[in-house]
Amino acid sequence: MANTVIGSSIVIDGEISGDEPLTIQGTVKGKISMAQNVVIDSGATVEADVEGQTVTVSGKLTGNVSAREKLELRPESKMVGNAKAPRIVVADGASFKGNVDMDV
Amino acid sequence: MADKETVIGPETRISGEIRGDEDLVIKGRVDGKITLSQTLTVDKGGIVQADVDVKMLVVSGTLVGNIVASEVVQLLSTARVVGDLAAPRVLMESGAAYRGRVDMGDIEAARAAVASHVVAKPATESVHSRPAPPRMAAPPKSVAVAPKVAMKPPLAAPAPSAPPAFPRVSGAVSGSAPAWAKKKIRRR
Amino acid sequence: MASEDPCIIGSKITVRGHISGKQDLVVEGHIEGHVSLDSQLVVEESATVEADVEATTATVRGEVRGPISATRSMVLESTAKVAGKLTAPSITIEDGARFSGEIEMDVELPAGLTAGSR
Repeated sequence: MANTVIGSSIVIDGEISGDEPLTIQGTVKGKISMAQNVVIDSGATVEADVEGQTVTVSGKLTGNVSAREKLELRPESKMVGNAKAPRIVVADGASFKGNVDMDV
Repeated sequence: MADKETVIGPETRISGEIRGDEDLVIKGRVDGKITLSQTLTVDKGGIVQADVDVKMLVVSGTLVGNIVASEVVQLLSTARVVGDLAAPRVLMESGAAYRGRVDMGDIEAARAAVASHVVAKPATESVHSRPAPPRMAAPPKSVAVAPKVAMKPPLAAPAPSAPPAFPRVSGAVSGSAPAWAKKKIRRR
Repeated sequence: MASEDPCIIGSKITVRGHISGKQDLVVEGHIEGHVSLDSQLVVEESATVEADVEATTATVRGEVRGPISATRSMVLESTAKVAGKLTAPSITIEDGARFSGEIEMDVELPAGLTAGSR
């Protein structure tokens, strides 16, 4: 499926936007606004506010998340920032610090 | 999952700096700066407005910006590129559109290009590009000034001084070329 | 048609001056000055051209210093050594060709891109 994959040795300093799925395995600093799903793989480091349809985190995320459908923090994920989503899943092992807003 | 290749999909836009140690394929849009130790590919629909510093660059799409490649730059037939380019090898396919300065590391040729641009005023006085030594006029009537001057008699005569007789083609080498134009010229 | 044979400037010939015409020209020797052709130009591997060059098509296998302008197309083959400004609607550069200078072609850019930010 057409989508964007940011590989593990890539560092992006800036803004990513678009209308397709995004998978991050590398490092992104800045801002992410996607119309579709955002996946932050384990090993990835994101220091950015993130907007997406669903946001699934297995790596490190520092920034605020706004997911239109669902935010999922998988085991081993570490998130520092505020979360706003109608559905939120925080798996056992995930680490999270921030405010949660499920009122959409 | 392709772990060692990054793809910026056609619907994705990135504005900022991208650095990395793996191949990068751009099908979407990137504005900013790209620095890679590997290969950057700009696909046919890709649009890059960025200075680019990579090992190899392959362009089928659009790139506006200055390019430095340590190995090779390939502009394929649908490439549209504007910007200066420095690389040891450059390949350009027919159909590629490019505008800018190319430096393949041959500084000497670049200097010569500047020099020849100055020299290339149409040298219509063909033969005289090397000034015929004026000596010919000098010792004509050596009668008066006997031995001292008349050291080199033969100078006047044939033409070791003048450039060898070559076809002077100032004027038209037009359609029905004379016979001499069709074969190698022999000196008279 | 007899007049379709190209004019050949042999490898031991030097021409200084202005060459113009409508006949295909093959250069194996040395040219300095100005070449203005309404036809095809071939600069062979043994040739050295230091001139302003205009032709319909230019195929370069030797050395050229000076601007080359082709109204139809230009090819720098793998043994070419060129320095100067190249202008043509279509330019091909083969692997191995050495070039330094400017290339001037019309480049159609998608809307919203500003070129010439150099």
